[in-house]
Formats: sequence, structure tokens, C-alpha cells
Amino acid sequence: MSEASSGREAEIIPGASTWSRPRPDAWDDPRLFSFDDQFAGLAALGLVKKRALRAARQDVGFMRDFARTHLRPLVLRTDLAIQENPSRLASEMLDLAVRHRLLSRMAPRFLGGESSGVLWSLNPCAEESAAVEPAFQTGVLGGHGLGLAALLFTYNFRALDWVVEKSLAGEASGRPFLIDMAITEPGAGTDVEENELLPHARLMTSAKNASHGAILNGRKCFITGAHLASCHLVAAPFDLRDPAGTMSIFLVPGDSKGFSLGRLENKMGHKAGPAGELIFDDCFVPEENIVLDARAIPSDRRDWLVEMVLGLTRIVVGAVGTGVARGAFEIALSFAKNAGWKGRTIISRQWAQEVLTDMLMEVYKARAVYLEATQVLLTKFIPGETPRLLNNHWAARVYRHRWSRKIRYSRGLRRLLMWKESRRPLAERQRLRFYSSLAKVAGSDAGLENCHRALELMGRVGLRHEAGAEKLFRDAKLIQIFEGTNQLNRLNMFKNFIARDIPGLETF
Amino acid sequence: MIASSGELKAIRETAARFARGELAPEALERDRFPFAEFNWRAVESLAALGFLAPTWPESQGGPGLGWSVTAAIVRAVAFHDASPAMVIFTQSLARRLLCEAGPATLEAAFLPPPGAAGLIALPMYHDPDDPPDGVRARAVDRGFELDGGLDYLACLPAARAALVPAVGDGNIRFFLVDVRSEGVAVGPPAVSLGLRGCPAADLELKRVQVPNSQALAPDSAAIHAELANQGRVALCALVLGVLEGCFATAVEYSRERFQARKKIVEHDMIRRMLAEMKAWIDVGGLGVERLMAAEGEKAFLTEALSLQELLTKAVSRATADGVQVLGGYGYMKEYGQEKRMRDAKQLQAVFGGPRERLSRVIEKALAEGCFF
Repeated sequence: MSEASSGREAEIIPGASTWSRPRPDAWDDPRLFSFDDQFAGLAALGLVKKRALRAARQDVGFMRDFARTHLRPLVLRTDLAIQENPSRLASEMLDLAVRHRLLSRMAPRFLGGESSGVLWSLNPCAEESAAVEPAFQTGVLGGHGLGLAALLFTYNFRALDWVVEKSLAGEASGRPFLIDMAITEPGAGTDVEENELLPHARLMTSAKNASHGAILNGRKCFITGAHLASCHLVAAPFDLRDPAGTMSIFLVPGDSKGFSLGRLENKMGHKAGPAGELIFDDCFVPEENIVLDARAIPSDRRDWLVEMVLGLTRIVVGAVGTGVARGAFEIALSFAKNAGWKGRTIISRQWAQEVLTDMLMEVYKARAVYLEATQVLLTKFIPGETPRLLNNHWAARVYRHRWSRKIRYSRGLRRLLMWKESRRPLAERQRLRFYSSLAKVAGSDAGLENCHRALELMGRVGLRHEAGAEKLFRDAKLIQIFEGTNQLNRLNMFKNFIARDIPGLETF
Repeated sequence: MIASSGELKAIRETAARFARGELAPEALERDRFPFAEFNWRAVESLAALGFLAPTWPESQGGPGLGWSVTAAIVRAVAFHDASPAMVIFTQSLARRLLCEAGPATLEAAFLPPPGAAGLIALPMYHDPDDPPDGVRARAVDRGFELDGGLDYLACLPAARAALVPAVGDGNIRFFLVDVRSEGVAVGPPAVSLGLRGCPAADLELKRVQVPNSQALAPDSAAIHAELANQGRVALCALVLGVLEGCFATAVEYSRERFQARKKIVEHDMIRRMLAEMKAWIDVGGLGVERLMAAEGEKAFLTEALSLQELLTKAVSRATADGVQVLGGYGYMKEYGQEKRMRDAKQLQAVFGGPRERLSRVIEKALAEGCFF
């Protein structure tokens, strides 16, 4: 005891386990709770301007109105129709998105879209739509969103411009053009979601060199949006023995020779978001469609892509989970107010008041986490708002001009951007990895737990399809599994925050 | 009535063999109800084995077995498919109620013996201690007139008759209603989260005439509550069977799936989830066995309720972990694991909540006044 208070290194008694003797400073580890770690989001205080706040309010208002007025009537109908016929697609939801120009709202004005350019509202909007239909953001539009994020971080602006222009044109003509992002394989789910696991992943899809391009062979599975996409972004290595070093990204139009769509999965929930199989049988990809050739990038600049994409999309998924938690609460609240038993409403009962309050707490906890993670993302990685000077139709004209295209498509710019990424301090990258995984786990766990509680509160009424509660329960589970299982995300958090100062500690 | 351990073992093995051979191959397809047909064939086969309503007394031509045997059967069946297990539970309760609270003239009634043609619906998903008062009974010449509605009666879409609680003279008693009677309207089958092979529907009665021979005893509600309490052992066993099936699938998959350089069964996080499943199987099994051994005794009724509450809740969470162990595959219907998550939650939401029921546990304890 006295040894501990004097601060001297304690003597080791022969035979005693050193584990049982706490180190004097065991509860004082300032590195784990630094200001930048704990209050990373406070940095946002200096950034948000009134205009951005106004735009964010408008964006969220639009999405709330869209979801409740236009999306809600389709939700239960679609789920039931796909239960009856699992090969059906939620085309009505996609048509609805097109009619309300949601794809345009995903692209800023200088790209030809309608977005306010204020990214602060991205995740709150995801929560709003998820509270009504979780599979809308992550299923119907999810493949496209994931694909766009991946394209953006390949810094291949030629490919990005092409996809964005086609999707905007498709929306205007009523024939939607979507992409998807194909990474998962039958033998590799968790293993492809983490840079450290990739070298040992049991992959079956690979590319080989061909004259003026490459040839793809293999299969991808559980790909969100596959059957709605016109074009597929595919991740495949050139050398299966070195997937981490040669993992490249290919753009494969749906009508390519050697490509076919395989099975459409029959899932527990998330019915509106199709998960499909992609099959490559000597599928030729012309050179201009090789979006990213890993072999052409120096080895110290290769691993930003997965990290940046997941850093962004995992936070969105956390917001979706929060939306599910909120949707479950809203259904349970409505039930409790209107249902009664022998003269007393459920909501007048204290036990119901406790359950409802616990559910609301889950929503607020999960939201606080994803908002903080969003702030981390937007203070250091992606601008939270595009300056008005750049986000208008004049800027779009400049953007489309051939000189500006020339600069954008140049190898020099791409190398510069990749170099910038490789210079990013490790501590910053670790922070994003931690916060994005945190948001994902917190949101998805809150979503499922609230669905559990809603069904417990509602009993037999909640178990019926028409109440909407059991559907949310079925939808909620997937959020704990995709974008990296919550187990993988926990290891990611551990590695990037707790283990970073413990050299030699094995994780994964 | 109370089987020996040898008999119990033989019955359990027969039930397991039947479930594995006859029920498991069709479980996923039948789970599509109402988008697939109700499993009439399974009901007939179970009836032929004497398993459809094991509690149906010998005096009526039934097997005359007790709740312990029923528990052993439903546990073995639920391992492969919880829905037929629930049908067994429902019919066991219904037939026992008919025999213990029914008038002697029921023998001449319209109802066939247990089988596909003679399924009985009843409000299983309501609290037996607090029966619904949505139907009113009025005494008329040589019988009663029933009027009102009840929601979510188990087995109603496939049933020939319904056991309906109705309020009359300030008292709730049960009536056996022929669903083909005039004034009876059976709603469309409910599309539910789980136990879809034991489907439910709403019932509406418009001035339905029920003869005296179909009116159960005036204290039939109390008898029903008593039987439901006794039957909790079978319900707990059913839930346990679901968890055992989930665990078996999770272990099998995790022994074969490679991620992060090893079989996932070698990852601590997976082992933790598997270990919790196994721990609940062990603890639940202990509880069920104790209740089975206490069959016929008045003791352990609150313990049965407590076990039901905690086991159904634990299994609802553990089966969600069972899906998690299988990752993306766990979410796909064809692996059968997500069905268990849905069935377990269905069981918990009807039999494990609302919280009021737990308060009844403490009410009884406070009233009895002894804690040690």
C-alpha cells in the first residue's frame, strides 16, 4: 500500500502474480483521454456558419417531409409484396426517389446536382429516412451512395464525373442510372472490411492483365443494390497472393460481356434493399474503366481508400441505426397512447413509461455519438460545406469546361491528392476509424435493442405486420452485420484507440 | 399420467426423429405462411403418433399424458421447427380445457378428435390470468348468444372450432364455437413475425347461437388459468428447443467458417456468444427439469412464471446472437437461423411481456409473505 502512494515501482514478490498488483498509475492514462480524442467534435464550433445551419435545417425538413408523406405509404406494402415474391424488387421506391430527385440531391451543384453542399445534414437526413424505412438509404440508394463514396476517394474524377453525369441524366429522363460497390465475397466478409485482414482473405475474384485492359473472373455476393444498378464498381486484386498490394477497382457496365447478375438474396428484412450476386466469367474491362490500379500507386499510399470510404459510410450507417431506434420508439409511443386494456391506456402505466423513456434514451445516446463522429469527419477530412461561390450553376459551367476537366483528370492532381492522404497524421486517421466504428456499433445496437423493447411493450399487436414494429425488428438486425460486423468494428475501435499506445499488442 | 424416465426418453427420441425427418425438410417453406399452405400433413402425422395433444385424456381416447411429456415432445420438435411445437402446445391446452371444464355432452359435439380436421383455436396470446372481455354471452332458450370480437387467436386460420371466453353475469366463461356457425367471421390470417406455421387470426361473433352442450363450466376461466400455469413447463421447454437448434447451427457454422486467419469458433467474441447460449440452455434445462419433476404439485407456479419470463427474454437475445455468429449468412432465409430469431421473439413478445406479468410474480410473493 505504502509503495503505491510513494510512487516507487512496487517490488515483485517472488511467486506472486504481477497481474494482481495494480500499477500505481493504472487509472491515470492521459494518452487515452486526450482533449483531441474526447472533444474532437468541439473543433466544429469554429466552423458552422448561419447559412450552413439554415441549409441543414432545410435539408432535414425536406427529408422528414419526404419520408413521412411519400415514402411511408410504400413501406409495409413493399415488404409484404417481397415476402410473397422474393424475386421482386422495390422498384416503386426507386421511382419515388427519382420523382423527388433524390439522386440529384446527393450531388453538389458544381457537379450538376441539387445538393446544398452542406454535409452537416447528411447523417441527420439518413436518420430521418431510416426512421420510416431503414432499407431506403442503405438499400435502395445505398449501393449507389457507397459507390459514389468509393469513386470519390479513388480520386479518379473522370470516372466520378461520368457516373454522376449519367445518374443525373437518368433521373431527369425517369430511367434511373445507379451504381453499386462490390467487395464482399462468399469466402470473405469480415476479411475484406479491414486492411490488416486482407492479406489472408480467401478471395475468389481476381483480375489479370489483358491487351488494353483487364479480365475479371470470380463472384461477389450480398452486394447491396446489385439488381437495381446499371453499372458495378468491383474490387478485385491482380494477384490473389497479394490482395492488399494489388486490390484494384473496376467499373463494369451491366451489359458487359462475361458479366451476369446471379441470385437475389431472400433476406430476413431490409426487403426493399436488394442484395445480389455478381458473376464474372472472363469479363473484359477496358483500360479506361480501370478506376484504380493499385500497382500504379506507391505502397505507402495504398490503404487510404477502404479507410476513408468506411470512415464516411460507417457513420451514415450509425445514423441509420439511430433512425431505426427512433422509428421503433415512435411506433411504441403511438401504440401506448392509443391502446388500452380494460379501461386503462398502456401509457398510463408506469412500467410502460419506463420502457418508453429507456427507448428514448437509446435514441439520444446513439445520436450524440454519430453527431460527434460527423463532426470529426467534417473538421478534418471532408469539408462540411462547399462555399457558395463554388456551389452554384456558374461553378458547374466552369467545372464542365474542358480546361477544368483537363486539370481534374490529370495524373498530377491525382498524385498530389494521394500524397496529401499519405501525409495525414496517423493520430487523425486513428480517430476517424475509431469514431466511425463507434457510431456504427452504437447506432445499430440502439436500433435492435429498441426494436426488442417495442415488441415487448406491444405484445401480440406488435407482432402483426400492419403495426410496422416487427418489420423494423427484422430490418434492425442487418445493421449489426453489414459495413463490418459489430465484432469487427469493436476490434477496430480497440486497435485504433486503446491499443495504439501498447506496442506489440496483437489485435485481429 | 406422469411418465417414467424410460418412457420419457423413448417419447423424446421418437419426437426428435419425427421432427428431423418430417418437419425439418419443410420448415422453411411452411414458414412462408400465409404465402404457403398450412402444414396439414404434419398435423395428421403428429396426431397419428399421439403427439398432437398428448394431454388429451384416455377416457376420450387420447394418450392421457401429462405436461411433462408434452414438454419433452415440444422441446424435441422446436429444435427443428417451433411452429408445429406451438400447434402441439395449443392443442394440448385446448383439449385439456375441453375435458376438464366441458360438459359430458361434449362427446356428441361436432368436433372431431385431434387431427387436421379437428384443430381448436383459442386466445393463446392473451394473459390467462386476465382473459379478454371482448365477447358478451347472453343466456337464451337452450343455450347462449355470443356477440363481440377477439383478436389473434392461435390456430384459427386452420381450426374447426374456437374456445372463446365471454362475459356473462359478470363472470367470464369459455364456449366452444363451431367456426362454421352462422354469425361467425374469421378474419384473414395475420402475417406475423414468427411461428408462422401456427397462424393466428381475428374472430368476430355476431349473435352466434351456442347450445348448452357447448358451454363450458362457469368456472372454466379459472380452470383455463390453472391449466395454462401448469403448461408453462411445456412453453419453457419449447423456447429451450428453439435455443438448442440455434446453438447447434451456430456451432456447426463457426467450426467451418474462416475469417481473420482462423476458424471463427476460435475467436473469443464468437465463443462468448456461444457460451452464453449454452449457459442458458443449461440453466433453462435445469429449470424445465425441476418443473417436470414437480408436475402435479401446486408448488413452483410462480417459479414457472419467472422461468418463462427470463428464459423467453434470454432466448430472444441469444437467437439474435445466433444470427450474428453466422454473419451475412445468418440474415439469409435459407440458412434457417433468422427464423429462430423471429420465432423466439414471437414467443417472448406474447408470453414474456408485457411487464405487468412480472409484477404478478412479486404480487404473489408479497401476498404469500414468505421468502425463504
